[in-house]
Amino acid sequence: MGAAVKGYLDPVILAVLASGALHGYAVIEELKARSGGELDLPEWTVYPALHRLERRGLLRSSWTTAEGRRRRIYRLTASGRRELASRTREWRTFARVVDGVLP
Amino acid sequence: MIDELARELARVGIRGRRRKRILTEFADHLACDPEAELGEPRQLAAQFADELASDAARRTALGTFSALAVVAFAVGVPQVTLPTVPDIAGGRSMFLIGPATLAMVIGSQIAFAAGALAALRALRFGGPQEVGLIRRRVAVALGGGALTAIGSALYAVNFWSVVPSWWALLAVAGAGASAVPLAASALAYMWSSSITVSHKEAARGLSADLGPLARPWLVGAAAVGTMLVATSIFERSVVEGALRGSFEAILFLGCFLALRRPLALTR
Repeated sequence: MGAAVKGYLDPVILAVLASGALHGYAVIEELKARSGGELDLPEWTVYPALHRLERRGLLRSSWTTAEGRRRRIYRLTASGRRELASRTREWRTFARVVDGVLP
Repeated sequence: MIDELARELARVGIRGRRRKRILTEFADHLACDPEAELGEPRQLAAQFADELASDAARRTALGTFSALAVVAFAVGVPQVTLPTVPDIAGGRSMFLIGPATLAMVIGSQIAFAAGALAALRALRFGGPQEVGLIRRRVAVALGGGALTAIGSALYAVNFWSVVPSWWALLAVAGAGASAVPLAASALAYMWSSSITVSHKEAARGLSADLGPLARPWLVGAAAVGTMLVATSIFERSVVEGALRGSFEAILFLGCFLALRRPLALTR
């Protein structure tokens, strides 16, 4: 499942952050929880993706302190919400088409 | 793990605040889950480097193309406002006007071609394996832009006593003003080039930029034909048109042979 979702890593991360701001570790945990543990991505691939999405203006981030440690918190921007809506529509169409073809 | 990641990030050219941020995020991750499998530091650093270098190369290419548009304006305005073209032998020295004219003619065409191709590849980006090609195109474009500006300044200096003083000042000021966007792009280029990409595969050829129009000889024929027709009309001389068209053909062939490999000008 991890390899199949590689091309959809960005919208999946955006979807997780749509419900609220999270730090990197929490994003990964939330991905695992929402997929019932099926989404077994290598954890380290999420961080470069978070940085990339921020550079594209789809996320913004800021420092906070938790348990005495500095922590980077990510949240969705308005562009990020639009991108998520667009990728969701794209996925639904794709899934419907493939679903109609498969036995 | 964090120390090794710090070394690997530095090795691929990720330093300063960006590196500190990555290390802080991973340290936080390990504090949350000391058993977390965060992969090989070398692989991780390479992934960040590829992402950052791709982003920086694309931005630099588009920025350079914009900078060259400013240079074209700053150098082009004096050229079109020159009241009368001075006699080529009427200036300070033939040793000055020859290199100055060549620099303007060759530099401007190289800057336009390399800058446009860099911007096109940035827009039709195919992955980190194309970062090296974009960087080379940007470097050549910036060199061409600088050559054009220097040529324009030398042209004005050569004819300083035979052209209106306002025009000479305008030409030198235009060349000087060109230095600002060129220097800004050169700095961005140097920063983006400091990051090492892990992908060493060959980039796609010219067809990735121009699609079915990726035929260098067709582009060359169009350039030569334009020079021939335009010169024949403006100079009212077919002979002059043929001469400049021939010069353009030699110029195009020389540049194509010299830059074919570094700029991936084959299909």
